[in-house]
Amino acid sequence: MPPILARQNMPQLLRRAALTLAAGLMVAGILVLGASVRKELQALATTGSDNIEWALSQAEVEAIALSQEALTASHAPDVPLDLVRLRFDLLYSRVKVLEEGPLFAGLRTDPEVAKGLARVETFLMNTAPLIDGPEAQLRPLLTRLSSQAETARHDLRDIALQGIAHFAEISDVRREKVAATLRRVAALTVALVALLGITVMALMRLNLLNHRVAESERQTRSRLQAILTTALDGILVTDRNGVLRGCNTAAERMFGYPRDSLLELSLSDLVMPDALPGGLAPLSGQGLVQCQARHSDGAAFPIEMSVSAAEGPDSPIHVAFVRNISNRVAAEKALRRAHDIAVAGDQAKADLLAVMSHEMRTPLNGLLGTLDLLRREELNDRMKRYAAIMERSGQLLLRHVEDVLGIAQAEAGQLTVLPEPLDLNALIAELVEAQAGQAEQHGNQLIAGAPEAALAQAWGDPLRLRQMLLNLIGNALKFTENGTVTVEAEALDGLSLVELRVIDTGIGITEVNRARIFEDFVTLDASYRRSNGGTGLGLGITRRMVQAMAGEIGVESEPGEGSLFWIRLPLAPPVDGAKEPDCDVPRGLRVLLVEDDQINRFVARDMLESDGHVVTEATDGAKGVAEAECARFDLILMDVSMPQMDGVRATREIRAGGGPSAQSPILGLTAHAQPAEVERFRNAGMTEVLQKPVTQAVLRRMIARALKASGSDTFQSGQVAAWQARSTPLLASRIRAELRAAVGEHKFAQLNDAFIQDAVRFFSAPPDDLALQAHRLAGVAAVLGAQALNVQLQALESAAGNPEEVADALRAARECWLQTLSQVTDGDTESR
Amino acid sequence: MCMALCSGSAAAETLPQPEGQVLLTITGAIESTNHDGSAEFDLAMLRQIGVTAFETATIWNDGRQRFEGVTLAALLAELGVRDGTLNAQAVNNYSIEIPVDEAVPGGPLIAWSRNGKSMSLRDKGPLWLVYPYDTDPAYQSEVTFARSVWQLNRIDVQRP
Repeated sequence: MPPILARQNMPQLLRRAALTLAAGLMVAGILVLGASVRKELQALATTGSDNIEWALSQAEVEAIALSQEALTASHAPDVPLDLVRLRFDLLYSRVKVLEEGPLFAGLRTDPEVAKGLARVETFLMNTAPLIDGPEAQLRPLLTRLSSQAETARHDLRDIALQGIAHFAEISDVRREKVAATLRRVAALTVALVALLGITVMALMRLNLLNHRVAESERQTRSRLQAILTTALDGILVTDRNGVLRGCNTAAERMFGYPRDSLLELSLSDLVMPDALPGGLAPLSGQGLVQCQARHSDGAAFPIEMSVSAAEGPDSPIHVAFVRNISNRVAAEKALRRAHDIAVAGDQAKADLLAVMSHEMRTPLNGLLGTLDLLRREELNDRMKRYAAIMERSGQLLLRHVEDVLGIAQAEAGQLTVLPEPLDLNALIAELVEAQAGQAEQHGNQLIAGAPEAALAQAWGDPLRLRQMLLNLIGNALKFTENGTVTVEAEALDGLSLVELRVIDTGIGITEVNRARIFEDFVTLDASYRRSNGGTGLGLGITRRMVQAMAGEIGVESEPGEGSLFWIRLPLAPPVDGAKEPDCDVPRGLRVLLVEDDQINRFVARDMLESDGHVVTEATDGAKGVAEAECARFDLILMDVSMPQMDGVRATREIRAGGGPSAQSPILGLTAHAQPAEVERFRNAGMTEVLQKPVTQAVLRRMIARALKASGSDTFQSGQVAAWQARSTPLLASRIRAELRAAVGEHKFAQLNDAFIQDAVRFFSAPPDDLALQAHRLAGVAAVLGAQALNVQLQALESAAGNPEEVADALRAARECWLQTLSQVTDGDTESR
Repeated sequence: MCMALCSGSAAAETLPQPEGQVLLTITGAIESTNHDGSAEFDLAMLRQIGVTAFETATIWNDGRQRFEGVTLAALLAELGVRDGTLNAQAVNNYSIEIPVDEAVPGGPLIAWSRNGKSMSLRDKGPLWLVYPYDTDPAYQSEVTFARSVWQLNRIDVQRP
């Protein structure tokens, strides 16, 4: 027992001990009293003595009688002496009583009494022969006998007096003894009464306490009862076996049973049994659990319950608070439906925007590309000016379209950020230089802040950063005339937090406007050049991009004095600090260009040829596939959306066809590069996906990257698989999560195990029908999200006819399998 | 003695006439008599009724004493006495009242011998009404001691 408890129990123990002691004392007292009183009563009831005074005085009386009788007889010589003899005998017997009776033993110890008795004895002894003798001898001695009897009488009187004193003393002692006993009895009685009083008081106190406890318990119980009765939640109490032991009125209402019939049921009659295979016990302390319950009329309804265990009379009981959540579930469903509708509406809007911008960007792409080409021609000054105006207008239009697309992408959560090593100082300098001309138009001076060395090693998405800063600079220039716009950057916490600032001396922004300028479609009327105003999306997009880069944006402004826009965001390189290798620009490749749009085809061809590549054109997917079947190309540029056979299908056919170009890198071209789509394109076999409009620089970089990734300018089948596998995740967690959700945890585990066993069997002893088995296993791998292995197995399947390639492909596939296995087996670390 | 003989011959007595010295005379409400409305007993007659003996300690003697005699109950039954009061008297005219109820079997004894010897007048004889004091604490009371008449020679039976 813990010491606290022991201490708490001490008074109780003491009280119990005291009570026991008191009871013991009382019992002992009663016993002692009883024994004492009994003894006294017995002593009083029985007596050790005859009437002592009678015995004493009677001796004297007999002595007197003898003396008288003797004297009388001495005067009557004719009367027989029978009476004298009788009197003598009587005296004799009386004296004998005094001499021999144990009663008088104490008295006889008195020397006076002893002497007196001895004298009387002597008289009797001497006289007895005379009495017993003949009358003739006795008669003359009668007078002397009389006087001798008289003498004996005196002695007997003295003895009687002594006896009275003696027995009075004994009587006193005895009385004193009785008195003492009575005093003891009285004392004991008082003590007993006191003890009884104390006990009664203790009992009364205990009784009072018990009453209080009982009263408090009664109140608690009635309060609890009130709580339970008025509770809106149903309360069910079950024993260990799930049999109902108690419920409240809410539970009666909820399940539609009267109390008595409810208490005859088992929990499994009320709550769907499959929801609670182990009764309530496993749910104890698990918080809220949702499951289905059944009403007495058979209708199922959703409930939420929380279970806790408690001490029962003989075994643990479980208390379940049950809430009918039909209304909530219905409300949630309605809300979800409303939300779905709203999201669908939003999605429709985003889709419309994406399609619209795509539809606009494709012709714009042609326009701007052609202008790009036009500028290389010999043009006169006027033509050059016209071309420049056209290009500026085109660029502006493109930016608006991109703005709209950016919003759509951001809304769809598709704002991608592709960070890479970045010199922020150079980026700012470049921007300032490029925008200087525009600044001058309104007498503004655009200056870059002092460069910071640390910022040259930043890590970020240059495209997005440029876009953000351009938006801010554009705004600043728009609202400033004959002033200064400063662009500066500062590493606040190394590269972990970098602040970019665009400061102008313009008209400033009022407080009301400051709150809303980051919203979409906000244009401020006070703009100097409304005609130059944008869509009002610039700051909204900037805000989204900043957020996508884990940063924040804000503005400080004083109307009439200027504004300061700031962006704070992390620009530190990732820990492994991987660096994109510089690309050598490859030249002289044989390129197959598959593009249905004439303008785009023209632009792309021109760009490729200007870099010295040899271009073969195909105007649709089917023609592209046919070309790839006939000749071997170092690179295929494939438009994604084409009529009839689209780029995705064409790619798949080229890869599967096994023609000379089956392993060539394929670059996809698309105007709507949503991440999910890109994934689909890659899965079809595209090496890289390019976003339209394509510029020369981007095209060069992508070509270089695609070729670099293969490790050589040409591709072998095993290598292309390896390359594909590298660019493909070992395990696609999303596919696995979807499968898991679809078939359930148990079935998923079975499938996973079967997959592992199949793969182990396959790789430990490659079967004779390798191609068929590889194909089969590839299918299983795809289902289970082992995408890299899927690719490797497909390569193996296609390499099956060629012994040299088979060995390589098998090795690569096995290696891939081992890596996959390591992830599959600790599969629980996968995100679900 | 002459009167006793005369009256004995005159009345229709049911009791035999005493032949030895008369030790006990019973008068009053008795059904059997042998001398002028009274019953006189000598030792032989008393023995005739029945001999009972017991041992008991007394307050008048040292140690346990063995008494032999006839029980009061047997004597009264002989005389047809069932209720009333006895007035027991001694030679020295000591007298005491004893309820007839007292005369129960195992109760008081009219003893004529102590420790096998007949008792003389000098030795509380010749008859002594003794109780078995040891058998019942109720017999150890002053009332009983007072009823223990020694030198007993007369009993008068009084009907209520």
